[in-house]
Amino acid sequence: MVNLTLALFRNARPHSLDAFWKKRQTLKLSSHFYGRARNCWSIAIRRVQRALMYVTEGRKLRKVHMKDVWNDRISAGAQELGYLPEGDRTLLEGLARSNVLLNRQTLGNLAVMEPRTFESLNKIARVRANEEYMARTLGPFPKGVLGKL
Amino acid sequence: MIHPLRRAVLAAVPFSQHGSRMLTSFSAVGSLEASRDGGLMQRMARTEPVLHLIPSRNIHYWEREYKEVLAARKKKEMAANPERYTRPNPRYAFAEWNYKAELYAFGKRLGEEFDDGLLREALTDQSYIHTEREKQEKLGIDTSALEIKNNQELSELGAQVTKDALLQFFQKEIPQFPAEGHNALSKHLTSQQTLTEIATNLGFKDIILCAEYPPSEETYARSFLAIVGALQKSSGDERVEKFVIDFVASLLCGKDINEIWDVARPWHMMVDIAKQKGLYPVEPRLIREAGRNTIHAVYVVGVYDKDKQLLGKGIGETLDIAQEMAARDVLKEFFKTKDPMPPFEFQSANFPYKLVPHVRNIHK
Amino acid sequence: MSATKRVQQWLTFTRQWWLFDAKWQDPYKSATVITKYLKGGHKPIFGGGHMDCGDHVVVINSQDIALRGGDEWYYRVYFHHTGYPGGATWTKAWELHKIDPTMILWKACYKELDKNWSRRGRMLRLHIFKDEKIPVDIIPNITDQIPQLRAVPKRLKDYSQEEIEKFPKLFDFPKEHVLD
Repeated sequence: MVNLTLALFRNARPHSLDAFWKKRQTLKLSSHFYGRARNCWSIAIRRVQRALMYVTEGRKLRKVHMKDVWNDRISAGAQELGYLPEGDRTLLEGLARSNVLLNRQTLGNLAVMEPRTFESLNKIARVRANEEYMARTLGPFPKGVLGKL
Repeated sequence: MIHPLRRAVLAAVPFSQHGSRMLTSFSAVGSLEASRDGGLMQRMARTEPVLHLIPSRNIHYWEREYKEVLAARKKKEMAANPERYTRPNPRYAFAEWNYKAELYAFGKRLGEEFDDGLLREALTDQSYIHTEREKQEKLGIDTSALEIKNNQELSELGAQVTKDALLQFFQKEIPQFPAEGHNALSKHLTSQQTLTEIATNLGFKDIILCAEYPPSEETYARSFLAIVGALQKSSGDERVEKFVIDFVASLLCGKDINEIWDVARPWHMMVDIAKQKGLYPVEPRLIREAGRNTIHAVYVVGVYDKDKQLLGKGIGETLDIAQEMAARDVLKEFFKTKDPMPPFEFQSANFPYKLVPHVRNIHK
Repeated sequence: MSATKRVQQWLTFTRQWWLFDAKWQDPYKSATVITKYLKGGHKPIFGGGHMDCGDHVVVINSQDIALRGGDEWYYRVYFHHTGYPGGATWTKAWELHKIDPTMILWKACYKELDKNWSRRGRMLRLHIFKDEKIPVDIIPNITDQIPQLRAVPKRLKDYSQEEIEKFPKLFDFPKEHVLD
């Protein structure tokens, strides 16, 4: 277990030798647990130490998970519009070549929260894809969008 | 968390050195605490009248025993006289409360030039005069000479001025919106609830002279309108319009004006306007639907004009609701209030500090 | 919440109904597409699997699925154990398909979904029918269709005699040539 943050470092070496305050340091970390693991010292200390080990792993997993979510959202948004049959790969490449430097997080948020902006970005990418023959020739823009209710 | 010693220091510094409302409230807390400690801390701290604020979220371990003593003492005291701790503690009940100075500062904080008498009149409620008179009669003083004016007259003037200014503002900003809608918006902005929100944010709570504490919504609203009236008498129409736009109209930020004005029969209104515009006959058509036989059914209805052009569309869990929402959508299109709407232009030309309204007079 | 926002919310989280024609489709490749719709992964609001935004999918013609080339119908085996000693059974795909023509596709989708508590709920939104006969109360619910993974090839017997005769030929077989 690596004590990288201040809260964890304090957990490793409490600032006071008073038993009450030493335990307060740990119980603060267990304050959101369910049941006796919240308040009873001997249960809380074990659960906190295990939780901190999960946190160490979760720090890496969270980044992977978030990237997956953004990718899902971008591809879903692009497929829903139907401007780019190849989906998000053409979208990201087309935007990069158009000097629209938005990352996956921003694009994912735009796909959910700002559908009109996301649609315009899709149009930009499509025009660029047609100009530079990135994908097969896409022809004119589709008129009615079918899949979207 | 202020260290108890620091609190005592704050209490020792006289009010004139603070110069700001927030710090005075700190000093108030400090003086109370100090008096409960028997004034010892206060006397100790008089030797060092320096202002320090060191905030901290956690309980310091060296404070534990001290806090235990304080907590026990407070518990005992609360058990002895509970009404003292449940009753709200008005700021003006403190000994060093200087109403005249507060009133002057209040006027300056609003960034306007007020006539002193009018400002005082605007913040005097009828109930205050009544209680004052009762008090004096109890002491055997002749009250026939007591001449205090209440804010009723000013608030009536203020209500009229506010309404005029708001309607003028709406006429400039959303001219396509019908007069009925303008009135509804104005009614919403001058409702007791909204005016209370404004007044509490401007710090009216302690400065209003009234019998009850904290003041009721009605008192807040009346006092705020009276302030507008007082400003109109002190500085004229031009200033008062800007004041109303700054403090009242700006509450429309982030609100959907189409929701504030509730159209009772949107389809009928839409048809009437479509007739005037020569778009009649309009026709609702089902564009999309899903899950017709389920409880999650959803319908999307579009409204088409006589040239079969789509005017707007609405969503609903039944066909009737979808049709009504479609009519609302078309109305928004007619009124130019469809989302995304351009923001209101609150700022006027002679507005040097655009984001900080209350400092605009300072650097003149 | 205002009326406009309320109906917008209703539309955002509504459940659509999709139609999928399983004729000549690989059930395992189809399952990846179908489960994407069951999970709601085709919507931008999808947030990593914990969001309950999945749609209904109505699959028709499940009796006409096509397993991969060769003899997959014979070597793909479904295992079941009753829990008692000697209760293990191994059923070949063609046998299972004979018993219930919707079972292979159902199992494929079930296997494809994430192994968590939402799996059963998602499977309840999958409606598989062996042919084109759908119950009348489901038909009006359907909104749209999921495109097939590959086009259904036309068999020789589906062509009319006229079309076959019109087809350009390089040579004619001699009359005595026997075509078996």
